[in-house]
Amino acid sequence: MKYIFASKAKCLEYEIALRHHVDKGANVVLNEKEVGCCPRLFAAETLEEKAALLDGTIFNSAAEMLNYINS
Amino acid sequence: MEIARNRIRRDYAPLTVSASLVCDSAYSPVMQVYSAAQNEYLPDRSLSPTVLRPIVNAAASDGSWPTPSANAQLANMKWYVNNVDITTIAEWSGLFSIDTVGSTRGSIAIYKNLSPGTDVTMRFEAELVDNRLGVIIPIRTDEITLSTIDASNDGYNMSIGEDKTLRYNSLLDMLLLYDYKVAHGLISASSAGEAAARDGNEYERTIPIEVFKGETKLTSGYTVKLYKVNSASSITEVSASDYEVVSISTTAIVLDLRLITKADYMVKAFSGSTELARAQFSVNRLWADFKASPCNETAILPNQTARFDQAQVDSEGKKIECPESVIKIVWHTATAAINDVEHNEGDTTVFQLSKTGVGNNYPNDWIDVFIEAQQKEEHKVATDGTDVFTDENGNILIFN
Repeated sequence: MKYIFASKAKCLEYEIALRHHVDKGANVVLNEKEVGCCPRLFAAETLEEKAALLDGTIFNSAAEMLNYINS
Repeated sequence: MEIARNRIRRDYAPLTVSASLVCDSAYSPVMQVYSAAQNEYLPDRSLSPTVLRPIVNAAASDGSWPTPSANAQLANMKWYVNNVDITTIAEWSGLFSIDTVGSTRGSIAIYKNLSPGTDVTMRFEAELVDNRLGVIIPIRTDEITLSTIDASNDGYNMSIGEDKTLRYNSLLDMLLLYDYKVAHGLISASSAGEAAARDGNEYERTIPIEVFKGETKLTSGYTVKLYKVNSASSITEVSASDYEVVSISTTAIVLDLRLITKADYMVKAFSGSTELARAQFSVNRLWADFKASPCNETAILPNQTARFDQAQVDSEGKKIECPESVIKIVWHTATAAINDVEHNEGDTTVFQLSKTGVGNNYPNDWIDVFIEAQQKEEHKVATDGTDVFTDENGNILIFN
């Protein structure tokens, strides 16, 4: 499963509720299912396009995401 | 001198309390998958926690309890894992957090990944302090199961695409509204209109089914049966008289949620008579808070003989269209002469002023117009006890 390390401000702009999300600084972790199903992001087709709208970086696995957060 | 003293208290109606559990994180459902090939949990709860929220509602028939949602008033909140207080379990330490403020008070975020092939039950308990009557009401929800499917071996397992608890709120059902408008000639039937009404809150709910052998999704070689769960030890296969079941196939079950208030179901996949896999889910109807009020605030004209009024119904900040389709609205009036006259049921009313007892002089020339409103219960099949009534096309008729 892919994870997206996205801007909190952008997430709020696209009405993604951030309560209980893992965060670091001004960014927050979303999973691909959450981003893929977000109604406000339907204009973008691919996960890459959706992540870009959130100023997000895609990580290809939980291990990669955890490594980045813990670094 | 002795003074006689009586203490008189306010008389409040007792609270009616309901409690249930929902999974608030559709992106991290209660069922988790472990893939040995990727050595990864899908999703990994340490990154995407599963959030369970108790919904505690309270109401008093005299209106003396201010708000239906009672989460903010909960005290002594405790979560139990397999009937053990979660705060006493060492392996859960630091892997959960519980909300303590606001309408989500009591919600738990779970950061723990369960071992593949295991499951645990979660339950919420708390106390609701009723300061009106000076009593403490114990709250206890049903259990919800957290599980992790091991997709790494060649065993069979079943995944259902929906959350394990389907919630239905008829006030948000645009398909029900579409049907009502078409039936009453307010709009014309159209496939585009019907498609637009299917926004995820519709009564006709499709539950996708996927059966896996190991990590391979099966497309044939199995059959699917649906059972009603009567108790922990008793299930019954659904029959033709379970009208809420629209269809069962190897890829999906379709239910008509209009006919269900609360029910538990189990889906089983078979190869011949051998059970391959099973999955369980529940259906719960939500009784959302709403406000109904008469709209016509104009004065009565001297020569007026009849009066029209229309109900406005709001729920969660949204106006409900055609409210009589989901809410039973009964119109009443009160005057100086007659305390309560019941008129008709429906969105609108037209009543004769002479029937209300309204007078012609200042002390008695007033009318209070008020509404008695309650959400309609689940639909029931129209039957005389033997035969089920249908329309000319064989469609079963249902009413509520």
